[in-house]
Amino acid sequence: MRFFSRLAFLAAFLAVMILPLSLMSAKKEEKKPSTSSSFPDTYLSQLDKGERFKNPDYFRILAGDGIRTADPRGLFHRVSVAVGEGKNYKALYLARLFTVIKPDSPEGWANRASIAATLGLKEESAASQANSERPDGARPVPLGVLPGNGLQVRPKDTYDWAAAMALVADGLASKVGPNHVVSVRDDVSGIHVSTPQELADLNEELAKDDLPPNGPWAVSEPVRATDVLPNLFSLVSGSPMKEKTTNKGSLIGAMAMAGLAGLQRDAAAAAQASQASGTMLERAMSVPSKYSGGTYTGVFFPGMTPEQKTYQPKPSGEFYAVGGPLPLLWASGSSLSPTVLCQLVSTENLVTHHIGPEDLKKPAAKKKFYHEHLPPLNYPRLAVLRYRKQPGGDDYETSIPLTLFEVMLNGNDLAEMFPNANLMFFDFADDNVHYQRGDLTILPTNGKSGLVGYDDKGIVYTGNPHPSAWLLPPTTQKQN
Amino acid sequence: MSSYYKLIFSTVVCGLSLLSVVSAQTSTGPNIWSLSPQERQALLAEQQRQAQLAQTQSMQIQQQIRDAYASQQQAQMNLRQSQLDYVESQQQSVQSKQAATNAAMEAGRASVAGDLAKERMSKQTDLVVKAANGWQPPKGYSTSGAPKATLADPFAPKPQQAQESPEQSLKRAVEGSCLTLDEEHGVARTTVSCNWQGLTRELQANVYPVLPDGSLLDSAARVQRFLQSVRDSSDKICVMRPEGELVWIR
Repeated sequence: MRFFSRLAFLAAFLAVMILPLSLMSAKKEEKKPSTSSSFPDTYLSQLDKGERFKNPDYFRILAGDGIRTADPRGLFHRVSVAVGEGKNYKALYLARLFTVIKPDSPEGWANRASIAATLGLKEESAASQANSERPDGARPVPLGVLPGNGLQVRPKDTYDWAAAMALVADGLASKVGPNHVVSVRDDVSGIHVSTPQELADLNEELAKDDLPPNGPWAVSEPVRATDVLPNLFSLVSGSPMKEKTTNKGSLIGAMAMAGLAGLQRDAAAAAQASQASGTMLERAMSVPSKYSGGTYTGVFFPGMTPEQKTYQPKPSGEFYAVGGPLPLLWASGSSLSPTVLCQLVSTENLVTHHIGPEDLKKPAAKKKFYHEHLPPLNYPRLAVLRYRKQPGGDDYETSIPLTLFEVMLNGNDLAEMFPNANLMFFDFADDNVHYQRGDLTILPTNGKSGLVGYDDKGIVYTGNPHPSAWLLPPTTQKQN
Repeated sequence: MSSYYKLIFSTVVCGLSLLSVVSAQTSTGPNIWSLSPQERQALLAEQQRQAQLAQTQSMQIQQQIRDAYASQQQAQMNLRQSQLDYVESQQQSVQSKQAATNAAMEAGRASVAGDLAKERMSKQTDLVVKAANGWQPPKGYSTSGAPKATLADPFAPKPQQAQESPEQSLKRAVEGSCLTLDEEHGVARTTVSCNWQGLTRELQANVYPVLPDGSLLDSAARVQRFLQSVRDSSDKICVMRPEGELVWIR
């Protein structure tokens, strides 16, 4: 049974399981309950198997902050299981959660200190140790896992890898606020240059339509999960690449010149020229790449102190560029928030489409497209995993968009942490094979047709990142 | 066109002259009552002949007018047709030239486009090579596994600690060491001079050990940590004198 298809059975029937909020007596800033009980219906209509989030408890636990209501005994047992399996990132995430749920437990703090030490997180370990000695006077603990810090240990498996992403999200949220965007260079896993055979195949197709031959190109390889963590940065600012369009004035001038040249040469032979020459000239007059310029700044934290680095993507063919920022919504925002506020900033108008709440009441209408710049939107923190079915093959298995907790937690975790819940959950054991093999890749897709965000009225906007459109933190911070 | 009006004019003039002659003869002719019946009959016959002649001439003139008009119409039609033929021939000529021009432009365009395409293709190849050669391998992990953490069970039964207050556990923690509980401040202090191995200076009596994070020994766990630190690490050790002065011992 293919593991991704198992998620089709994610129907979750949760019994009443809300534990007293009094159990959570940790820091105030860590205890804000989520105010929404699900994603808007407009977004769910754009999500494969989105109906699973209509169960408020499923949404709360696997997309929001409901994990804070976990049973402490079950939670501690899952910490010990994770430690036993060498999944130290997952163990640390759960141990942090334990100290939030039971901040008066010296053992909880001591366990957190011990696990943090194994990952080289000295500050977090020392502060947790201090709290273990006087838990009644527990002080805030620095969250040490950040881009460039605390990620030296290779995660044990996909669950552990997902937990590391959650730790990064929370580390940055405590440093810079809840609406941050974590990215990685889109060419971090390599660049694919078109082969002579690929070029020949393409040009054969073009020739069938009397189109002129194309030139070579290079594209980024899909970003592999194993390459992500050591190469993360917090994307703090950026100007996407400029997208060049054909200059009609110069094109007309060039055509006139070309015509004169033809007259001077041989008017009789000119009659043999094909009508495709106009297209040829337009193509010939276009630049080697439509994209140019662009720059962005990433911040990372070697030794807990921030450092900046400026990156510049490179054009790599008529319609391609490499080295742009690939957004990772799982590591952006807070791990306990269903969404992160950010903006798909573009140099040109984007091709988008909208769905408002009123559109759901109408019969299925033809999709309307718009050309516009998008405002800051709430982007659900979902992403897609993908791998080749066979090594070297062209067939891919692609997951539905998943929340981070749907990747990080397995059925046993949920059963023990939420013993009163009748929670049917199918985990992802099989994809550890692909994680270990290194061909598990991540796509920044959280909807059926790409990257989806919604505004405060629940209107959904779909628009996809590309070389001239990047997902950036909002310039004006808005409260979710 | 002018000959046509001249013809009409002369015809009308002739007609009017003939009518005036006839009228003059009629008005100035002999008195009919004075003529003999034969003469009178002859005169009447002559007058009838003249009238018929005039009528015939008038009809001929009208016919001539009609003929002239028809002729003029035909001439106009011929002229219009010739003009149309001329325009058409001109149009054909222009179209022919235009077609030749367009075809020549197409050929020129294709030729120039070919040159530009080659140049663009060359630049595109350079871009691709530059992008591919500029790639740097990603950073990796420095270790493939972490050491195993030690865990304490928060839910394990703790019979002794369950009845112990923090002060009691602190007292228990300092037992057997040269520390004692300063009940006034609720922290541990030295009782007698301690000379632990590794210290460059001995701990004097009545000083308060301080942990690296600035904490005094106010709990059993902190006492344990201090004692552990003295035994096992080379970290600096600090104490606070009763008057508040901090002194580094190691």
